[in-house]
Amino acid sequence: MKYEVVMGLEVHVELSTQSKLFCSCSAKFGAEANENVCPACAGMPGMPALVNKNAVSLGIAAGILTNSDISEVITFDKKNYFYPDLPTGYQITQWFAPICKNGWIDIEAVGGGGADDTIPTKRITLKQIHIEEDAGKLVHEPRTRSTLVDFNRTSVPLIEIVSNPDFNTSGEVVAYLEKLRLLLTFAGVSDCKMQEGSMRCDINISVREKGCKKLGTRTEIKNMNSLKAIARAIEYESQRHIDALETGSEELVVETRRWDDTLGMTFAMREKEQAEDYRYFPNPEILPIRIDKAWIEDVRATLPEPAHEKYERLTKTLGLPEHDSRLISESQNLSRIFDAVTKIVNKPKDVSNWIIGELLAVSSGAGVEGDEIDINVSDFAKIIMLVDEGKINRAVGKKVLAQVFENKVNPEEYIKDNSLAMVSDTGTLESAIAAVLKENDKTVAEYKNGSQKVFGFLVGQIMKKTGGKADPRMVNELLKKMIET
Amino acid sequence: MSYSILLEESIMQKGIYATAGSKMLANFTAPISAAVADSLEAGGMQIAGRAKMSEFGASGLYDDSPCTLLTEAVNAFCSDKNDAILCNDYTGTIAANAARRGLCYIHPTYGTVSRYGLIPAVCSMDQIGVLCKVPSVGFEILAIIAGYDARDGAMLPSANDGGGRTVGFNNNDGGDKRTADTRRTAALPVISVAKMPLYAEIYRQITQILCSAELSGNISRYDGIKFGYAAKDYSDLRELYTKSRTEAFGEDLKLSALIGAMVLGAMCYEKYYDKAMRLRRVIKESVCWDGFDVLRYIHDADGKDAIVFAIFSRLCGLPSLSVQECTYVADAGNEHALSMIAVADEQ
Repeated sequence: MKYEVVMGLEVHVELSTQSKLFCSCSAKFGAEANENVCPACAGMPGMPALVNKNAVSLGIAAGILTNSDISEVITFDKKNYFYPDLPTGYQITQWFAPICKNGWIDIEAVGGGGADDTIPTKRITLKQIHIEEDAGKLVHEPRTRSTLVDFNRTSVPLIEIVSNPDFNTSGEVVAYLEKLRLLLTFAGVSDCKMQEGSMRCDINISVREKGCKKLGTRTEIKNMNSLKAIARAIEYESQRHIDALETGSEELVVETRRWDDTLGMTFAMREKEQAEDYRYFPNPEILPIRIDKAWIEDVRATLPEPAHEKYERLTKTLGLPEHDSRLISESQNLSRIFDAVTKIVNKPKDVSNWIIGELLAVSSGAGVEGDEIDINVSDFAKIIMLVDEGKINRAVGKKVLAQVFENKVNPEEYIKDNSLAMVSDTGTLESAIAAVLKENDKTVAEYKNGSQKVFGFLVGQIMKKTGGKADPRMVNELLKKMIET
Repeated sequence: MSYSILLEESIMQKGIYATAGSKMLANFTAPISAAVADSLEAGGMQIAGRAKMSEFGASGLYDDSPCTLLTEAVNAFCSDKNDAILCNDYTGTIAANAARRGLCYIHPTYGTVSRYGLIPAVCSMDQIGVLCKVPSVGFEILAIIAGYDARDGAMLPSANDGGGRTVGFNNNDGGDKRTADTRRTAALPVISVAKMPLYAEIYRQITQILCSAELSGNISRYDGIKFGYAAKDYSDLRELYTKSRTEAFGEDLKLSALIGAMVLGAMCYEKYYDKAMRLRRVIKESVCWDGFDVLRYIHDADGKDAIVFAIFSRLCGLPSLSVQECTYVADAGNEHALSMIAVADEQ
């Protein structure tokens, strides 16, 4: 290909703080409209802005995770513009002294070539990360042709992660966003839910001839919130640039564009929306904040083991299969459950099998994702131990796990109340086997004629008769003995 | 002793109109009570009512023409029985007025009195001060309203707050040096006589630039949408903004919005706002408190120059005392020296 696409990203990520950036209102998503609003975040005068210290700590965390330099002194500044979703008429952001500079993230460079088993990495460098407040939400009511404003999101803390123009393919952009999401959710900096708008991105895109040093005309696609749409928008927009360069069909201008997912096209936004002079100036209401080494180290100490390090530990030290290790290490919640249960049971392979095989099956049956699983780890560990000790069989274990997951029952009590303890009494089992053999004389004959596969059917019947509680190993042994005599 | 005190219309009392002297907020009911209102009540003072003010306290910023509302308020105060008015005199206009009328205005160190519940005008200079008839009474009232309040993020840490502002929060200069009232001393303060600075006119210009910029930001919340004045007839959003603000703001506020937008604009930021900030720093650093505690500037006969040192103290965040003959300025946190002089003068 003759052309090279050059892209830079601005990613907005909502920080997982309890309260808003400058007041004590809840920052939780999904409340009733205007439920989480006080005079301060509604823009009324008289309440000085007070910085949420935790938001700064999460900004520091983002800096550590992205290998950034963390500034010694940060300021908060005013960005002025009128819009109904911005009740003060200015957004408080960091224009003059952002919290992080010069970071980088290594991504797996999809489609970047390389041998089959080694995926080459590509380093994406970051210009800066800054903290700012989100704006409210406009709700348009087409029926009454009116617009309502919901201030719940107003002043919810965000970080904006600004990359250098280091991307050349949509695959790289998607890999970067996935890596960013992994790092930030894992460390609890943000939940990065694109569908809820807690992660969104603007793409700066230009196209130049390969080998050319000068960048082409840049356009910006705003407010993208799905990976699929991002990949499509990049393909469309870069092709539009290439067509313009090749055929001269249209003149490329520096502008902001909007992606229409239904039409699969980008459109220039109105000029009014782009030609803004934001009149930035330092907000004198908020004093500069000094970030000392101790603060940074405090934050570092709270960060969990990074996903890639965890993956290495699971595969190399503990010898878990790659697939299982990946599933566990990429979810902070599953990692937490794994570590906590392994600490009690001390059998990492068993625990991993239980998480991947049983826990995820039970939770997905209830429509709960891995990150959302809320289970008492000591109860979970108890079940694994009971199975391991032969007190219950694995199938019953799974049943109990479902109860612990859904109804938070005490596993031991539940087993007792429902008489689920494993039947391993030879007499009971022998009489159950005898009864099954008698009821299935035809099948027994088949087995004796050489059909091995009916053996399993007979085991199933015996399990059924014992209410699923029989010790499967003993059933196997006894059945073999009894059927052949 | 209980004094009778009026609050300027920019200091909020829950459930009472807080207009900041503007048509824009004529129907605005305060959602909270200002920290100073609570302090006064807790200190056994009597809040006797509201005092009229110029629109957002901006009169005198661009010219010397007197503001009718402010003049009326000062006239009324001269003849009534109230002891003090609390106001936010960031422009120095009220201090200059006080000097001309034989009253006294005490402007405390920036960050001494909580601004929680004060309708903001110019955040880097906003500071509630005391207009009074007897200086020693003014200082008594100041002692009641001064003190650290965690709800104002730009306050001085005081000796008894247990170091509330610990995590590197510092003042606008990037230093951590400010502590309130640390040098109480029994000896009378040493006074140095100041002359009219050579570049007095520049003080004025810096104030105009900084005040316009900050005012333009602080008043942009008044857009006719959520609260405050809203124009009746409009066809779209832009017209609602424009009409509401045009109809409700007076001349000074319109000037602030325009000049503020200009000096902060990308084309002019360095030339005006940034330069004004730098000059402000130079002025702050130009005072060296070696060998004296208080600067005294003696006013001309007509008192028209009284505003210069008032502006100087506001630009530098320093405490000042304006009386008929002169303006006294002390180092940050040294209100004590000013009060000693005031008491000595009274005696």
